[in-house]
Amino acid sequence: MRYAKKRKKFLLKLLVLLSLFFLAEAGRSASSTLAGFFPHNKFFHSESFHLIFVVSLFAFLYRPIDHFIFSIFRRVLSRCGADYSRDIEFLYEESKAQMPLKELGNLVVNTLAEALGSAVVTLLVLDRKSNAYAAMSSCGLKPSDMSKLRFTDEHLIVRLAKQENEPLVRDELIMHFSWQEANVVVSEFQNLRAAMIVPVSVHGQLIALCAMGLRAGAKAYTAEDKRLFQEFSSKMGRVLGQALAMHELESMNLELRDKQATLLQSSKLSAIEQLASGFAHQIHNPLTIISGKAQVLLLRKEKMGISEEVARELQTIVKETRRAADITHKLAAFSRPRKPVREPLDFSQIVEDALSLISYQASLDSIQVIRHIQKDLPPFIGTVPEFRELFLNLLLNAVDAMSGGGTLMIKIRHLPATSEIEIKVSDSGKGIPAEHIPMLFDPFFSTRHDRAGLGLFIVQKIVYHYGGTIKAESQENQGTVFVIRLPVLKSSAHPSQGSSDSPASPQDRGRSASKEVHQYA
Amino acid sequence: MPKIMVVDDELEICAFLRSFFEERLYEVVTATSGEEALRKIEKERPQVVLLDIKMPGKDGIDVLRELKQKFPKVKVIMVTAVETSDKIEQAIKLGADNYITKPLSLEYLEMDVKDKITKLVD
Ligand SMILES: [Mg+2]
Repeated sequence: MRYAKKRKKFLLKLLVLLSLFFLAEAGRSASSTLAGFFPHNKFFHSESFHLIFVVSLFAFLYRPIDHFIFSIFRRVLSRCGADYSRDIEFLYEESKAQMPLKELGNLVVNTLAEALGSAVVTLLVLDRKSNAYAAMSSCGLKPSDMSKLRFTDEHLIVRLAKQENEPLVRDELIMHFSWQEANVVVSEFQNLRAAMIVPVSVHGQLIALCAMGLRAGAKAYTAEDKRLFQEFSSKMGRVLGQALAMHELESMNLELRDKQATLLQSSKLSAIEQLASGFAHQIHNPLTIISGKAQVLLLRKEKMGISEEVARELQTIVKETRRAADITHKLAAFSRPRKPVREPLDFSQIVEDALSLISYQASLDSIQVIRHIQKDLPPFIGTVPEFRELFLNLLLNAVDAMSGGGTLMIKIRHLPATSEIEIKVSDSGKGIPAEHIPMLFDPFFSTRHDRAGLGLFIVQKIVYHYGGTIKAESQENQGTVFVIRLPVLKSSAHPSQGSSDSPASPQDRGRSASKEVHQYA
Repeated sequence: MPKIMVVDDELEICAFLRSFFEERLYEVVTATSGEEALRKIEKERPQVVLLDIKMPGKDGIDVLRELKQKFPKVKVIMVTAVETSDKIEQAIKLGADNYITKPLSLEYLEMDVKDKITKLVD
């Protein structure tokens, strides 16, 4: 069709140019006449004057003539039904070449709008997931209006389209219905600004509705039109059905790829988990021995004549083995399945806790902390230690990035459209080089020597645990923003369910040993 | 003299714990497997047992179960590396008197052992 249309357009342009050529001839004699008024002026008699005159005439008259010829053509076209049937024929030819659904939809509406001279043509396509017919392509409707147009079995036009399976002409329907039903029909047609709706079916299933406004000159649709569009519908059904199937396959494929990526990520995690817990076990005994022997030596300091200097080094050994063990402990703590207390989270409190914890490790003096935490967040069920860890790591990361001071922003809000909690933590720090972003959440990825590189890995694990997503955006020397989105589950509304599986409280256990476990669990 | 038993499959751990507690005037018996521990305990009758959880063969949990059945009065302190909280809960249900994580803080360990022994005297 596109080629046919181009051919037609080319012919029309030729017509326009031809008429302009005749005009130019007329212009030439006009310019000679004009020159006759100025017999002594050399310029008016020169070739260049003729040229300038003709060119300006071209420039002034091209558009009006072009417009005029096209409008005449269109008017002639819309007057004889057979002409748009040829357009439709082109449409089939063109659409045989497999085309993406959206492109095909646009082609259909544009061709029909042009062929019919109709102001509005809209194609509604079946969305199998919601079993609704949603406006996909439209000529004449604004995208903002289109997004509101969804028709289901609740709508009379859909029920009629399924029953009749022939073009529905508004004015005919009105006559056959009671006034209540007629009113419904009118309002539904009105929403689409349509006078006729053509159902498109394939294998007995209604896959699309093509809604068309009145033709040019407000001409009503006749029985002949109906017959033509019936044919159109059965031919388009196959093409559209194929395109729709391809489209659905593609989106399914995309969905699958997404799922696979998540799965891959989680399997990557579990491999690391296994590695981590084995690693932690293996490393703990040697650490215990190193630290234990050093402690025994310290105890026998006097007896063995150990100098103060050596004693200090021994103390360092004890301290450093503890630090090494802390890392493996953390790693193991995050790799083991836990039964934490689940409760509705108070994000403001958790953020404050994390900030106050950070102030022990880093100076917040030169950093301005801005909190935007929505007051009426829907209840979100989670465990406080997990989210404290999450914020701690994100905030520490942000503070690290702003060694020279800056602004730390924590934004938490509810996104009603997707029913998610969005957590944004941004800093105005040095930013992350683009090539580091893909590795950001990998374990042990760190650009600092004094960090294990587990922070963001842990954050990601927590986010995944809650079925959420996390991404980082960064611009060098501008800052970094981490955006986390966590789905608010329906069951979140019943906090009592989640807390029933809480383990015995740490206080029930041994005195200070419980503190140790609490610290790592 | 108070008597303790150290059970750990790592020889060196047994060794330094022995040196430490002997230094602090305890009588120390060691065992490097669960089986050995259960065998020795009949004869030695320690007041406190320091019991490693992860050991080949009979692990700390198995030993604890048998030990508490036969000698309910013996105090047991579990020594854990990075065991899951499930394991720790299981040990506490089986009657473990406390647990401590590796690497060990010997000062704290001794405090705890003393605490257990005074409770025995009471
Ligand atoms: Mg062991």
